[in-house]
Amino acid sequence: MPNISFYSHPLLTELADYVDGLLEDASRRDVEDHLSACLECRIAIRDALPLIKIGTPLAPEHAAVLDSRLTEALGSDTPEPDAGQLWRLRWGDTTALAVLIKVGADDFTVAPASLDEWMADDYTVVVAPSWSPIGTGIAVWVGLESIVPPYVLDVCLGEVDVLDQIAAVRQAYRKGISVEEVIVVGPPIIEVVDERREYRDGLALEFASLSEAEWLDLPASPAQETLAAESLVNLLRPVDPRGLAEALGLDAPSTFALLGGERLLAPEEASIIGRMVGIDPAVVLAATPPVPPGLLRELNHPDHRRAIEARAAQTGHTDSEERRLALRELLPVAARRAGDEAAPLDWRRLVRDRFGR
Amino acid sequence: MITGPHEELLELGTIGEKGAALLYKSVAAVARFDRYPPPDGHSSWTSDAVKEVAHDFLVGERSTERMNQLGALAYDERSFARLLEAAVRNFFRSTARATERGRLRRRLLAALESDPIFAVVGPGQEGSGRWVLSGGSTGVWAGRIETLLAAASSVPIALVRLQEGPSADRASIRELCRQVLAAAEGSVVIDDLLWVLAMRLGLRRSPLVGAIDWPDSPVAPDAESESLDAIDAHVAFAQLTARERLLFLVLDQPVREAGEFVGVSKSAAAAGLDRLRAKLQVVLQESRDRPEVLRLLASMCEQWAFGRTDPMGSASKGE
Repeated sequence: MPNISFYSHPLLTELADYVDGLLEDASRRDVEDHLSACLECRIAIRDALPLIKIGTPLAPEHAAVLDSRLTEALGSDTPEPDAGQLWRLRWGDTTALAVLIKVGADDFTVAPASLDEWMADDYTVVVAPSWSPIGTGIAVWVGLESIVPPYVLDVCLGEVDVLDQIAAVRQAYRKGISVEEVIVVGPPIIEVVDERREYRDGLALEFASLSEAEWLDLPASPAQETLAAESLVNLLRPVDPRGLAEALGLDAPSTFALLGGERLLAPEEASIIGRMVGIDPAVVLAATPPVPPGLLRELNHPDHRRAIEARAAQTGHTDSEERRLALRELLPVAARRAGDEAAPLDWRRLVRDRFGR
Repeated sequence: MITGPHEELLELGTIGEKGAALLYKSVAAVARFDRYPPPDGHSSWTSDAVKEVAHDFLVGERSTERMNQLGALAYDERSFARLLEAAVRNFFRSTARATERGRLRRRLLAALESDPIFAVVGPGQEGSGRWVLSGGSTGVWAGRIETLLAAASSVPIALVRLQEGPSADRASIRELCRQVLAAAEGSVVIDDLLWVLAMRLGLRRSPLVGAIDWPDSPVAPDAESESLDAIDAHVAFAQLTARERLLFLVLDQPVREAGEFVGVSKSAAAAGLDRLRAKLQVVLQESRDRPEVLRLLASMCEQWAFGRTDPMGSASKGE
């Protein structure tokens, strides 16, 4: 079923089916809606050749096969993200490859990768097929380095041993000088009509879209509205940290975690704070606890992606809606356990349990 | 039970019955909408012609890399269909490009062999079998490719109409060879020379799956008696992709409107407009009366976009 947006044109096979009257009603309407706004597709239909018959399809005996390492990687469990790994990234309709350069707490620095290594420019490391984890040469576009959120990571395809080369190319790129000759990079893009310019622009746009991927800021939901309410951080702003620590019996790290919104508040602690700041304890309790960074990080972690997608497929929600629902459910659990210093929360376990893993 | 071609690929590790069906359909659709001629040996697009292209796609050069790209990037049936179609489009273009490169190789050799300013290094000497400027150093060139590319880039290209479409004229090819060999300050193998010229003339190898907008099959000018400006406009028109022809019509509009007109995002429209302006600079650099050529080009783009029957009437946002 096409279900086409204005900016994603129908496939040519769908246009062919449309012209030949082979689409079902709903799909036909989707194509017609698109055509009514898209001159390029109307011209394509106008200028198309007549119907081409395809006969009985037959896969040849010696058809190319997937590299066995790739097949294995696609079916493997998700590893902990680490620098030097080649990942497939995915968000919405965008799918792309990237090498992780730096793994941060809340985002990752990546170099876009492509498997058309002959499209590489002069700041793109060319990895030979013999060094590739999937048996195909890889172009690592260091000049297009981007920062992406963890939840766009989809499947780890293996390790690429090029971090040293990436560091050297990064340095050359920043200084605007040529890469040292021992590193294999592509030729520079000099010609205006060089198609690599368009190819590189396309990659840059894909990664700009991946960098902006966001599930917490998507259309408003009850959970999101709650999260937008006045936070505990604001309520605690006028409180003296030392006095707060003494009143709650907290050590310095726990106190600053509380002030920074990285620690939840137990009900009895809310009462104490209410008295300290002269606010009804109920108001303090009503103040939404900030989302614990540990919980957010866990919901963002690629380890849960397949389970979240499987759940979304069952419920009919989007992946982002599933994440927001999980967050809404897990926040009270987190709040109830906030004061339990003896048994800190295992966020990973909690999220895994939430998705029945 | 396997439900679709993508699942089949992951299960079997290769294209099976469902994948073959989608591939044949994609080949026929690309041939039909991009108006490719049937492969050699076929006078029209028959089911045998479709089968031949589909099988070359699966067993021919770089088929393993193509398969790995599809396997690595596709994540469901819809994305697989989209990527497979992009790969088929690029396969068609790649085949056409190989023909163009073969033609360039023949023209390059003819230019080198027929001109006394070029010489091939004789047997027993350093650089034997390589090409040099007559009387120049025969030492083997082993420098950076950028040097040769920059030399080629400095040569303006004049285009002529050949039967198969616009192409660099003989004098441009001669000058390209002269400048590149001079920059090399030594002897160069024919394949390196060909590679640099192919880069300069836009005949690079195409990507396997990555989406790139390409010009249609060249359109031959209508009459022999056309003015030089009209010929320049025809040559430029033939080098614009369908999307670029549409963008040309909204070249002076804000990016958002331009994007809506051609059906791409604002960022993609901005990048496309930048490339189009740069491309026009290059394509029209030898034109005598540039404003007149641009006017003729605009008229051709309008005629192409609106001049013939629009299957949906005139509902375009740009009209």
